[in-house]
Amino acid sequence: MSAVATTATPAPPVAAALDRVAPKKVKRPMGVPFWCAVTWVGGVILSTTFVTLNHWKKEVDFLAGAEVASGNWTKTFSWTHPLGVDGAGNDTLWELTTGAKNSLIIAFTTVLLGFVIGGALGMAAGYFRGRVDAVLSFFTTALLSLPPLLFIILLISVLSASAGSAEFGIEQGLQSSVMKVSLALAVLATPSLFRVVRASTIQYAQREFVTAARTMGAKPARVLVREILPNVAKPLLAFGLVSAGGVMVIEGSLSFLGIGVGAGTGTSAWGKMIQEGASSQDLRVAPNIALIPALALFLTVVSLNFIGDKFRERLEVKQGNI
Amino acid sequence: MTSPSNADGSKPLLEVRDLVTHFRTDRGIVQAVNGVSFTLGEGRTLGVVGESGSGKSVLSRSIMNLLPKRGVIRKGEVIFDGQETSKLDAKDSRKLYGVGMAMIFQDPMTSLNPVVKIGRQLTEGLQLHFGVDRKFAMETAEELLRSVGIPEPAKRLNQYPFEMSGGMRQRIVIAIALACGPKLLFADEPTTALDVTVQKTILNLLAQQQRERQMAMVLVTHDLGVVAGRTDEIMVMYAGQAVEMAPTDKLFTDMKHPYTEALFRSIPKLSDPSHTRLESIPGRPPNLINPPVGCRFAPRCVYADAKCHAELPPLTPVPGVPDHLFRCWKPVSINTHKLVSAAAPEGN
Repeated sequence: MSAVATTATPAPPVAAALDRVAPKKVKRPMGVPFWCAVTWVGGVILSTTFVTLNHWKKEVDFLAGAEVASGNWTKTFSWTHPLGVDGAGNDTLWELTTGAKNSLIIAFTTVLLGFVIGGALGMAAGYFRGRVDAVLSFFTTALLSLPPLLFIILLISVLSASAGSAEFGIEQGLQSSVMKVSLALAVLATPSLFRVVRASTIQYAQREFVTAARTMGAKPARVLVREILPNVAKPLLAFGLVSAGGVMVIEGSLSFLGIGVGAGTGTSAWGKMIQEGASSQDLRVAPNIALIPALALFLTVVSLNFIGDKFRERLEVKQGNI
Repeated sequence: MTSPSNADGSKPLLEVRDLVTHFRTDRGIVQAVNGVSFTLGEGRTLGVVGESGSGKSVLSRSIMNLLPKRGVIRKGEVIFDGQETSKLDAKDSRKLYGVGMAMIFQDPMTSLNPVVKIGRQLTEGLQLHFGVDRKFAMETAEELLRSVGIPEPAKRLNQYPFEMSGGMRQRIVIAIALACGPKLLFADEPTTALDVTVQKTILNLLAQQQRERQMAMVLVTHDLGVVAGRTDEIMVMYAGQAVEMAPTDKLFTDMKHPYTEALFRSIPKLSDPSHTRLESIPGRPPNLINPPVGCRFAPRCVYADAKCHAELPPLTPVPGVPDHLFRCWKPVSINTHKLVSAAAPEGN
């Protein structure tokens, strides 16, 4: 027996023949609806950059506005106003693209901030467990138990008060309102993102490759960043896209309530546009004012959800292969 | 209780003294490892054998101090290369990992990070311990992969674990463990998750690497056949205790403990006529929360009498053979020479 053990030295080619070769991965197509969703979101992003780059000025067309007021809203659609105008003569396409810019900035800033804060805390809680976990989980659960709408209103008013509205001009006022809403929504989103990240960190922290990394002398920080983060991050991409859609809806509701972006200023936001067109008379006389931004919001949120779902599907299948 | 394994004059590399590892659970304290002691010389191989739940995996993890701090009671001494490891702080013990001791895990499907490329997993330890640059680390990694018999190593460095078969992955796990040139390698059932056809090549690879690197190894397995030709010494574990410990040839020629004998009998033999019923050990390993008062194997032992059930036998040497220890009141004394030669074809 020992004779075999001391003489057997497998030559690499022989060993290769003995090992089975794993089958090549087959890529499945994403499908037409997925690409439609990507095109829509991409188009919205492009249009906002186009507006920003060309300094497309807001021009008020009083004549067309008067047409809306007299009930002939269909007549306002023209080459100069492809999507018509509202009662005050503001071009809908202009309002829509500047609104999209604010909505997208808020959605992605919120998700990014939420992931950075909630993600870092969640990974720490999930990896170290014990007292760290107990304290962090207590605070996030406490945050979750507050009524979200009241909490947001409170946060925004606190942030507005501390910003000191007097020293900001209109332009800064806009930026700070986008920032205010993003910050408030990020605080609101943090607990749920914390929970998601914590749960998957716990799951991965028990996997053998984490122990294996420790047997090679990796510090906790290294294990978290290089071993667990890549595993946690990919499924979170999908969750982040879906969350971005959710944030857009909440942001729209805030604008609709008059506490979101552009409250009291000339700045556009989708929620604000819907609100302006939603008074009962306007809705009957000129449904385009409320319905076009509503449709844009709907399509964007649906697209983000769809892209997120597809990513999740794809990533889950890959997890199965592993 | 220390076995004089360094009778050949080699310096002891690892000394484990009375290691105890208990887990606190809701149902009580699980006595997973209960006072295990052994010494391992440089470049030597110890086989740890036992069935599932005998504490053999916990033993190797406890020696490497990989178990969580919470809910674990760990006592005893582990002296590695002259250093008492439990006295080292976190930073110093991390320096020991990879360079001093490394570990190979049972399942290469779970011990490789699924979303990190092979190259980075291999070079991480090198960069961490030796501060070498990426390029040099990658070249070393390629060399390592070649030495563990992986074809086209340069291409493999850029692949993910799921692109490879089980045998390939275990080779990569071995390469990672060997990357920093450890003096001691723990192999925790390295072939259990693999196809039988691949098992032998992996074991041969381990033996070859061990010879080339003058590395000591602790080979944990449930298969006596695996350790038969590949170890210098064997420790048989049952219910968290060492029940028999001896140099490999002595154990196989003169096994004393009924559990060792029962394990040996349960290896299928080619010389048996077909459809021979395989001998198994009746019953199950004892509950480690409330282990039996007497000999822990007594409830399953065919030779057990009243004394076995009442009193735990000490680990004592065979008269005249100081390096053969056993824990039994009624040792078996069968000459197993014939059995050994019959089992040889599967044993390797």
